Amino acid sequence: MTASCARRCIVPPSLLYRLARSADEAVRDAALDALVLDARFRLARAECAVTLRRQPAPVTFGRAGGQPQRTIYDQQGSESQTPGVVVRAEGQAPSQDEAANQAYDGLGATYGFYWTVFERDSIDAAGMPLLGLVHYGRRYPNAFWDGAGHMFFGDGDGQILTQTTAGIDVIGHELTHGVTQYEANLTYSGQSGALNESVSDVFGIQVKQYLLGQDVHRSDWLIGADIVGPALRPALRSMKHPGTANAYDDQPADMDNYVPGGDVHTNSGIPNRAFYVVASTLGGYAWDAAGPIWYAALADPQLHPNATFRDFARITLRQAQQTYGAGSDQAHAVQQGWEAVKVSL
Amino acid sequence: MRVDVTRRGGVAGVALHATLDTAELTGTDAPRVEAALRDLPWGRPVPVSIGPDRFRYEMVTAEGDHERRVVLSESEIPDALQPLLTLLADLGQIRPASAE
Ligand SMILES: [Zn+2]
Repeated sequence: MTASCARRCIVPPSLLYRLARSADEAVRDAALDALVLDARFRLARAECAVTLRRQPAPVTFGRAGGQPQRTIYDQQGSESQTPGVVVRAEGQAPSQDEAANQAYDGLGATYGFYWTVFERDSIDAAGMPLLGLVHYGRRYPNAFWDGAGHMFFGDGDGQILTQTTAGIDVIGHELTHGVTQYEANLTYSGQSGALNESVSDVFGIQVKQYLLGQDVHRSDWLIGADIVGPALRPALRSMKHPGTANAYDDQPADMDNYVPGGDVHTNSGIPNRAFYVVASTLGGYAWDAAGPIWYAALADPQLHPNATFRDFARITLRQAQQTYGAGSDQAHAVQQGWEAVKVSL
Repeated sequence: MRVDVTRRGGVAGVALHATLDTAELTGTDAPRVEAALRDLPWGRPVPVSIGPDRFRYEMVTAEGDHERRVVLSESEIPDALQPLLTLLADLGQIRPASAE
């Protein structure tokens, strides 16, 4: 393929992403050029869509994007919600603190994934600084996004969870809660809450796969495998086989087993598995097509905060049909994914 | 004073439950925890949703044959109740996220 061809021909973005990682410099440059053009078309379409309902993103002058702005703070065991001592700022050398370096690297990898694959510039798509607060609380077995720009990471209790910064999928999960807040802002209860949770797992696992170069068949599709304590081994959740990740895993794998009034981390098993089926049906890398379809659905102005699984499913199908064609493999795979979990389209 | 405590939510997706007795607390902790428990907004409506992956604590006590219940987000837990949560962390049994 020549550079001029890549500019003229209609090439699916998934192929362009693959070519952009090519060892051949000419191929790589051509693919990157084409991706920029493709992204401009998407942006123009998105801007039209945005005027329908959501507020357009603020214009940030003088920011080219592609560069995270990370600051890692040490909370020193406190449960204060205010950032503590800065242990590592953007561009600084690694600190002595392992958790701080893991948070720095993990936020960087997550930022890089969103930027490279979706050209999204941080949580708010406008270069928002990434603030990671480590050593939050005493033996705190949790990590969370606070809705106000901060990601908190506990050291774990040694039973349920160990050091939470050790899981790149977990860092991706928490950052994605921020992305969801700035897109569909899915209400954190019921089906919309389970979708909110699932979206975080869907992009969290892709960040891990992307960092490790894993295709859909090499990934274990487990969430939290690097941060579980002995009580929850081997993992918190399985996107491939929901309900089997550990002795307490009560995730349903389809709508027949939906838990009315259940926790959002329980029913998220259903959309999690739908994504797994779509990605594994298509093969290759999850971010070739399945990831972009899910991302487009999350950013779709028609996805409202109280969306049900069915609402979300229909938007993923429409996105797949619009991007790849009504009779495309991608559209069929999306149908198969939702059929597998018994969500009717 | 006996209280049933269940921690729910959190990225791990499990609940943690224990039936605790403030008599198990040492020294000055017991009267402080009991006072803090009495001051909780018992019976108020359950918050529909709190932030993603935040913990929430469900407390149930029996007063005679009258059961009282309250659900608090972790940010609402008064400092004086921390010894009770430490006891929960030490003695609590893990349960599935959506267990009753
Ligand atoms: Zn979450």
